Amino acid sequence: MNRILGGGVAIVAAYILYPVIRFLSPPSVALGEQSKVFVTDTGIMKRNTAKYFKFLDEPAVLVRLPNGTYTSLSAKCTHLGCTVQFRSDGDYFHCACHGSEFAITGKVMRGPAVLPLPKYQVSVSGEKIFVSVPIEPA
Amino acid sequence: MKQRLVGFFDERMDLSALRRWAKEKSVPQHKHSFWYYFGGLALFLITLQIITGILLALYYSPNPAYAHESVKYVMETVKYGWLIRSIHFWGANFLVAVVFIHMFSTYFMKAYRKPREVMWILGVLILGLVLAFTFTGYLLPWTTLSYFATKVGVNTPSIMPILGRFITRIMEGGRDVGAATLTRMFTLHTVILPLLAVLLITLHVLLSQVFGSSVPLSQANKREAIKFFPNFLMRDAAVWAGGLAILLAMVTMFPAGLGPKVNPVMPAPVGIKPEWYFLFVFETLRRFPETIAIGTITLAVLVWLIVPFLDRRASRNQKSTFFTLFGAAVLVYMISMTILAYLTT
Amino acid sequence: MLLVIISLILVGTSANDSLAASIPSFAQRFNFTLPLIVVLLILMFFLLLKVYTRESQPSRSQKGISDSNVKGDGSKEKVREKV
Ligand code: HEM
Ligand code: FES
Repeated sequence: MNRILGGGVAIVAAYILYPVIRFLSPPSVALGEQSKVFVTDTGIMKRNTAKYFKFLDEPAVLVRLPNGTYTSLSAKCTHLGCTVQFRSDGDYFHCACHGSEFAITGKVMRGPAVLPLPKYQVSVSGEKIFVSVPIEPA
Repeated sequence: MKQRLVGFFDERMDLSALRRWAKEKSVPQHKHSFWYYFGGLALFLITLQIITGILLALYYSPNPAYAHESVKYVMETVKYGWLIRSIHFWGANFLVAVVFIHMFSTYFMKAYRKPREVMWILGVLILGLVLAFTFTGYLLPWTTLSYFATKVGVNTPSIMPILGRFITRIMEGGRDVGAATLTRMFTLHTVILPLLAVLLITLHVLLSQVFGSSVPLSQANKREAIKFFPNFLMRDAAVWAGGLAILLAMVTMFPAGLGPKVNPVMPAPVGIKPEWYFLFVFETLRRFPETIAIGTITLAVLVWLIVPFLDRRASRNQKSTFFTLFGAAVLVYMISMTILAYLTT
Repeated sequence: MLLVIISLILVGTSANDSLAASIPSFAQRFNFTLPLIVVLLILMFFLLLKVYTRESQPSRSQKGISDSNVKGDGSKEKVREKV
């Protein structure tokens, strides 16, 4: 008798708890539409400067290198998520939160971060610069 | 008049138990009695936070477009807005300090020993709640500093295996700290945490009435005590008056500031640091790989939580030097890491 | 006690309000809070005065009151018997 009662209560509790937990976890957004974004026109950015923008709901950065080409990475520090700062004195990224440093390729130069910054694909079509996720993950 | 009023309630509710309790309640007096004031002071400050917090919530808007503006409006336009917000701001700082002092003083007096184990656990949980209050409240003004502090805070659990990412997502409410995070932190700060805090604090205080104040072992031979009503309460009130005076002085000299509004795509500014009570965690994160840093801190917190059950000697009313040293080590670590964080930029 | 007031006045005379000009100036804040601070300090003084005059009366040492607190072992009954 007590078992049936207990089991019943457990089922009711689970029935209440499950939707609540699902309600708490945010619905995943379809990224298909956003997987390629327009960032800026060519000829606007000076060499050795960076432009920050939002990509896939996270901060990203487009850098114009000293040689005039473009590169783009996630700007979200792989340590604990602060936004890294582009340092034109030596072309690297510095995270002000706990001092991690990343090379322009995204590689970790100084901890505490362990993982590299993900790199994005830059494509120029006409005058416009687009950034997208690489077809094959880098 | 007073007589009749008391009589009215006495007939209907039987206040005799209450009266007996008031008559009998006493507080032991000895060399370390000084530390008994911090619990009462914490209670006073929490009340202050709840009152000023409710007032602030009347103007506050938990939306990235208006949050910063609404706090600015409170500071600049609302009459005595600077006063209410600055009391809430300074009250939070005082409260954290007072709860820490209260905890360490009861730790070193081994007040957690049998039969007060549950009080100790409730106390540690209340400290956790107070820190959760400051963490969630910190985001609300939506400044650059509060934004990145929250980022680090919500990403910290993601280090944990299996459940970590899930917890981060639930705290963020999206793919990154943003509008959804702000409403979540606001709801936590103004609804969920206050309810939990009132519950736990009520239990903690009720238990303290059941057991009375613990006397440290070294003072166990002292038999002196003073009555709670009115003697100790008057001392308590004097401490509250003094505390409020100091709080108001800080409020007048250094009203709460308001940093620039965050621009979520811009990088974290150089030299950002958390509030003083999180500096030891911050410095630990800077110096050690995050899994080791967070793993060790989590473990230490768990040990701290169940210390009454580990310290078997204290429960038998024997000296337990090991646990005194352990507490001292924790304290020294926290203080030295905090100082280090101040010294290095 | 006085320290609070003195430091307030010191800051008041030396401060050139570096905070946002749009919140009330130090003088305005000071004028509002100082009376309250003074009242609080007086209150505190008299509370303490009352505490000490009360307790210098013979009722001070209250060994007689039943007291579960004296021993931390929670055995209320036992302690009460002893007392
Ligand atoms: C233990 C209790 C509490 C603590 C430690 C605490 C702490 C804090 C902190 C640190 C802030 C940020 C202040 C700033 O930098 O501007 C804040 C803001 C805020 N708190 Fe609380 N709080 C507590 C209770 C409450 C309660 C009970 C409410 C309302 C029901 C509340 C409502 C608010 C609101 C609306 C803000 C945003 C306005 C502002 O930032 O000035 N707080 N709180
Ligand atoms: S978040 Fe970048 S170093 Fe910690």
